[in-house]
Amino acid sequence: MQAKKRNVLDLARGESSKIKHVEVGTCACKLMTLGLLPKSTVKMIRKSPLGDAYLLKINDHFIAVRADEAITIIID
Amino acid sequence: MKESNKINVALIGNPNSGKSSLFNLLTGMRQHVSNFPGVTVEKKSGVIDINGRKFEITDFPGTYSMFPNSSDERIVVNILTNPSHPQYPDLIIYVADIHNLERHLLLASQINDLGFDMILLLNMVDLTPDFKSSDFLSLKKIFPGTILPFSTKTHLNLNTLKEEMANFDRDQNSQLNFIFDKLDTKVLGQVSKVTNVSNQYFNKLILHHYAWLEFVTPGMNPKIEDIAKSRQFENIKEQVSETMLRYDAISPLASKTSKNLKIGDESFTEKIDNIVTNRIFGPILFFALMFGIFQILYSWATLPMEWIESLFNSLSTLVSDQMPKSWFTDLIVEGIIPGLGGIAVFVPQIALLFLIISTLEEIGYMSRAVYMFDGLLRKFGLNGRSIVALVSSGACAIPAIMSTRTITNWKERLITILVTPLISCSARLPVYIVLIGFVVPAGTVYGFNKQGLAFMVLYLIGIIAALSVALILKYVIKSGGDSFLMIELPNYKKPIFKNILLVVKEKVQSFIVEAGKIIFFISIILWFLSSYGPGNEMATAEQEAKTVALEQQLDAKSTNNLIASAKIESSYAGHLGKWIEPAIRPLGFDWKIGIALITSFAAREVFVGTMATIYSIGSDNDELNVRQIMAQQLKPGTNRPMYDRATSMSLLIFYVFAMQCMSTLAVVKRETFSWKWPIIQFTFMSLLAYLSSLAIYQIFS
Repeated sequence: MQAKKRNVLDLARGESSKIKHVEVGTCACKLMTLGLLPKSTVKMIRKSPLGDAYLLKINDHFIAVRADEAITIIID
Repeated sequence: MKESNKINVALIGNPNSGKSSLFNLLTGMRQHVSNFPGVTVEKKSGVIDINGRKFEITDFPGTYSMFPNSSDERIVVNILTNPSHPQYPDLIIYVADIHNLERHLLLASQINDLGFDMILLLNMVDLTPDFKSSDFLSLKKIFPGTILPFSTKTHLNLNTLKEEMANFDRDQNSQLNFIFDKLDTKVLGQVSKVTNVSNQYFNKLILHHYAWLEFVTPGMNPKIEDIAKSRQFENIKEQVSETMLRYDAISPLASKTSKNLKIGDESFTEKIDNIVTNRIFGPILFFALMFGIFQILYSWATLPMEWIESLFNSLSTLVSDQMPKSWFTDLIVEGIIPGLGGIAVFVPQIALLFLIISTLEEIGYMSRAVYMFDGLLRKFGLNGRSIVALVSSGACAIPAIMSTRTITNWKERLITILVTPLISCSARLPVYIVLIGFVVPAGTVYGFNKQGLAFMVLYLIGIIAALSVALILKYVIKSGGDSFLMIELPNYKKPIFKNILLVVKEKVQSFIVEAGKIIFFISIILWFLSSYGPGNEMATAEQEAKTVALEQQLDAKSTNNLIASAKIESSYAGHLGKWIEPAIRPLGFDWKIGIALITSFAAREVFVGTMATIYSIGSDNDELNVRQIMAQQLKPGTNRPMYDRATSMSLLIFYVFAMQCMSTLAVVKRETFSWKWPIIQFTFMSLLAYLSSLAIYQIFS
């Protein structure tokens, strides 16, 4: 059923999931330092009013990422 | 050269770790703001004395890891890998938020591997009353140095920290406990032969960042590149795998340490964010807030601004009464004091603006605005973080430009700095007030005040121009560096007023000192140009004016006005006005407006005063009077009014676009560290002003 890798953008608003890993790329280290670590819970809070930023809740804190940054966050 | 008896202490930690609060706590008012040598990153440092030992404390920019994403972070990596750097620390005080240990200890573990002496502070213990100091013992496995639970709010363990510093032994070697994939030890060994440094992690960082690290000399560079290439060193992949490895080691210990900690405010934050970052209410709330801020800035700052003006006026009077009449007294009274007054008059607005903005920042609101507007601003080559500058520039471009330091991508920051002065600032107001009456008659349209609408249109033109120029610059400026949003939205919290007041003090101080130096010199030059003329032209003009006044039997005031205007016409400034007249005639301007354009290069608001002097009604800045006199002026040799619709519109547009603010240019120079950008900015804004005015005048005349 989940043959395709799911990323954070596949989450519906208010939906949570566990992070599998962050794909290797220029954002990876920074995303990890913001707490996007394997096994952390990520919750999609909402899309930004204008454009393509997303407000995420990682365990118990909040970060905002752009779509092209979010797409590298692979979830269960 | 470093003083041998002074100990360099670096405060390092992630953003939002409370590092700056600790810095304020340690140094108090003895802090000094400068820049890290050769770069545009602000450096805050202060020298303190503990038990007779001197410590130079430097607040390093907030950093997440030794794999930097921003120029700020690069500074940190550059200094920590360069033992000959003047700020190379003898001791590092690492500040970690105890609620976010897992993330905040990553950099700590990297620094530990570099072999630095480190005191680890677990900050914000005050927010977690359940905390037991026995809980953090497991961290000793990775961090052999001193570990202290800490609170910058309650000052818990502040004295212990000072004792630890006082007892610091420079020769002590911390135990190395590497947490990283040693790669092939041979590779690091090869690098070590080039660098002559034995620390393995140091050599690994050199391998990662040899392209830009200051430690790597041009001689070393190709050798290390060879090693990286022949060993097929995959930079990004290695960074990610090292980061993973570190988290594998840190996470179990961190969760053990913070297992009892409850953070009470995150659901509260989420609830507030449901409204504040709501897709519809969020932007509405933002604009309402901005409207409120401008109301405050305009209304609250007016009174102190008047006080400052009258203070400087009475200072002028005092000096001219007390000192003997001479050119020197004139220089002080007519040049230097008004020049300095011109800077000081902005202080209330700058202070208020920074008070409000740093309060919004301390609470945690600004990062929400950044998140909401990132998408829109990115289309224009800006960053979500530019919103802070664009908002502030409605009051004054100077604090706005200073606020761009939070933008880490250089290109986005530069574009923000370059377009910010196009947003109409408060100094344009008096000019707009004087001129709008000549363009739009009083009255209403659909129930709105016509002149009020024209006012809004001028602001709108400024905003549109800023965004359009940004869009052009986006394609013109070629500068590398990836652009990221990735921003932490900290939990909402009560602001610490001491921190805010220190920020306000520091911004106001740097504005007065840095911009003041330049305004000081230019105001002297302007004074000279309008007080002296070639040969004895001015004396002749004065005589002639006196004769005319006698013939027409004018009263004392009118005589003085006539003399003043005759003198200005024959001064160097008058000659300059006549000299540029051919260039500005197509815009509908004469030499008198030319002088006003030249003098208002110092600051736009000088326009009204200059007009007043030129039209010889004394410079009492009474806007209504100026307007009445200006309305009576006729175009030379005609019966048509000088300030007809075409000329007035042309002049208005000129003031919307033109870069007429020395202070802004001075600040742009300071922030971009060369005259290149302020010159470019001045040129394109002047061109924009000239061409738009030309078009407007030619169409409407």
